[in-house]
Amino acid sequence: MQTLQLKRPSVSAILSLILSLLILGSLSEMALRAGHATQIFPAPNMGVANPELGIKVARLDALAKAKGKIDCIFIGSSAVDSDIDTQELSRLYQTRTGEEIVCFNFGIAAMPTTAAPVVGKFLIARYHPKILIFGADPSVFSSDFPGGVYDVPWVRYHAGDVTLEGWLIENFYLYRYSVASSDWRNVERIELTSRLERNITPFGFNTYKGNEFEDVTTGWGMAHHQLHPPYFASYRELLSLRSTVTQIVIFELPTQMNFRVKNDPADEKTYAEQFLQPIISDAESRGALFWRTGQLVFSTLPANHFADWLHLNYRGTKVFSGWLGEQLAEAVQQGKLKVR
Amino acid sequence: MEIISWQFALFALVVVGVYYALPHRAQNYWLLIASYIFYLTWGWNFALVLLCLTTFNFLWARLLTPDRTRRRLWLWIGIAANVILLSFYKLNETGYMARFGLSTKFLLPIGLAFYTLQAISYLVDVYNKVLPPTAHWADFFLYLSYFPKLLAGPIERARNFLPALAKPRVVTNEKLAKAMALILIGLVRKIVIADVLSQIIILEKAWVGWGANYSTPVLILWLLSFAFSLYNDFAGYTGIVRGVSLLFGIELSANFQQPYLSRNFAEFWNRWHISFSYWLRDYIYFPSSRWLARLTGSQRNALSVVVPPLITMAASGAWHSFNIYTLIWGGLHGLYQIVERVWSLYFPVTPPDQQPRWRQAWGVISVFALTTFAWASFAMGTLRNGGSAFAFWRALSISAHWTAFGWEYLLVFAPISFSIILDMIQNHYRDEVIFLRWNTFARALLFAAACLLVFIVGVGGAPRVFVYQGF
Repeated sequence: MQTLQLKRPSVSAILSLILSLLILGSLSEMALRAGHATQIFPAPNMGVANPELGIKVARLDALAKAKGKIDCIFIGSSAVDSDIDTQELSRLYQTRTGEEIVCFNFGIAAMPTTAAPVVGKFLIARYHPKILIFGADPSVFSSDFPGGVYDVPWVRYHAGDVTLEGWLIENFYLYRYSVASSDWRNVERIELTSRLERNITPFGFNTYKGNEFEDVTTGWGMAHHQLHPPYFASYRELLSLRSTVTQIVIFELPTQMNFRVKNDPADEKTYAEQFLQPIISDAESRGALFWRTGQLVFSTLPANHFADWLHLNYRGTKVFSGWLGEQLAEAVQQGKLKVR
Repeated sequence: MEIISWQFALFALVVVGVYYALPHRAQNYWLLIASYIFYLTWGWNFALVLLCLTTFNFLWARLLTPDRTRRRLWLWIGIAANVILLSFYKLNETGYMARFGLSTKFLLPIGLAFYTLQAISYLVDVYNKVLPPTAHWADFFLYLSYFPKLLAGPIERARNFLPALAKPRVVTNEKLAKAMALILIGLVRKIVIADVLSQIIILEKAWVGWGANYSTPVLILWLLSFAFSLYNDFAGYTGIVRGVSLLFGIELSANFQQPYLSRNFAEFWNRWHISFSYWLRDYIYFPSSRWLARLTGSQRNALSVVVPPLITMAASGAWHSFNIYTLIWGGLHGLYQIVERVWSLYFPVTPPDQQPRWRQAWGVISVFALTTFAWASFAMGTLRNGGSAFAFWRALSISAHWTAFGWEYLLVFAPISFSIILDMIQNHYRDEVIFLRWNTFARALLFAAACLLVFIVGVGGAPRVFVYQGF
């Protein structure tokens, strides 16, 4: 006896199923595109564990739409994220040059240097900034940097590397929200996302630090962080993004004075020779500007301007952002950078 | 190979495809080969344990036929061999064996706790002349290894399963539709309800330092989430494997019948993990009750009322895990049943269906509340990072913790409500696939909605491992 004894299914049943799938799928897609989805669910994460990427993309999209241009974008990890108030920077720049500049802080907590080239490529392709500015500190070049993964299909898709998943995330909101669906049912993630939504300004500055201060006098020292070869290779890849449209600037992120001087003095020398020297020399050989902050730390950024050894608090952010604005203005005035 | 994976879907499709092309007897051999291939994907040593246990029980059953002498002794040796093997692995898992210098490198073979019970039931049934020892070795080997039920049951009886294997199977449109419906409902229960609940409340993580960090409402929601997540996880699994099995024309037992709508504990155990409950009833509860009744001369004396439920539920706790908290969980359920039994001895009890609505509702609420209270101990005994059940119950009563509460936690009521509504519909119509009776368009719409829901929720991350695969 034959096991399979099926009769032909009715055409109407098959048609009903196909029709139902189409109707429900289209209705869901329309509901998500209507824009109400973000009021109910946190921003989709584009496939990245850190919700900050999705929020920053949404902020940057809105800024680009409102201003019609993006002049400069800062990228880097948490120190960039919380150390640079791009509005304060623009204010100082305008005071010095009399011209408006639109800058956005695309620093993302725990973004490793390996992600910088692909994120940089994505930002250039999507927003065409005149200047891409990367904040370098020893920790993000260190092999023990606990970085998240940002080299994901959606970012790659926008960086010019077309993948099916990247295309689906970009073009189908239903898929985009499905990818992120594990996030909007994770209470801790929801809390983190709403905190980030509150803290990140329209210009990308993450204001979470407040004026907390930690006097860091112990620790592993600056020389603890060695240039990890794969990270250094990614840094070189980032420098190669320089083109006739986009210029690349690298700056040294400030680190707390107490942390630096109270550790072994030889440590400072090692830091200068084994960390700074190679990254400066590579930047300059590839036509990128490099801004050092060494003296700034010892003159205008005292220890109480830091939240910890690497991250500035509000006081420090104000000073440092102003300083960056002046550096930018000076470079433009001297013809080293072009914003028009 | 996980049940919810593309690999399993592909594997099942290939096995089904070849199965349909084979004649009846060859189908059994093919299923046996497929089952061992499936088990080998979990580990060759697991397959070896299954092979040895199956061979032993197949041969041992021949010593239990009526024409043999010392049948009783052989039966007890056979049962003991199975129990010792299971206990060895269970104890080994807890780390107790290491204290005696014994090896800890033997991993508990997945599904061992399930197929050991089936092997014991076979020996007892042969001894009790319920069925003769099977002459078809392949059928018996398939009985214990049949891949849809290998990892976590249902715990089938040889008396039902072997005759089904002996007959030619037929798959009709109706069976195919039921199989699809069972699989889809199973996926919804697992992915949309169980996994979502466990992610909202982060079931495992909540244990670490919960006493200080979580307020009482969060702990209550945690416990509710655990109760519904565990139920839907296991009911989802059972639905999927029953659906897969139906594609071969083989019906597996239903394991759940809306247990949280039970109006007393006797009913609860007829609706929760039914195949296991019936196994406990037939092979521990009834024999121990009969033995005590013979010993004491009455079924109404204290020993006969107290001991069988306690032994049965303690065995249930130990079967899940050799852990003080699973024993407490079993003990609590034993206690609930004793109270219910004592009550029924002194007060006339109306069958639940004939009770007024309010009494039925009160019964449902009471049984659910007490069951959920006991789940705390079960959770502590079975989850990684499990803490102390006593500390958990104490924390529940600390009034100072009633303040701190994030409204996001109320999200758990979405999947919980979904689970309750689904249960109420199935319970009302006394049909788990009632949706198949709807008209074509309504069925198609529901099928599409369920598919879409599973896709939306499922694409965001790999499903969690089924809880009962760990026992």
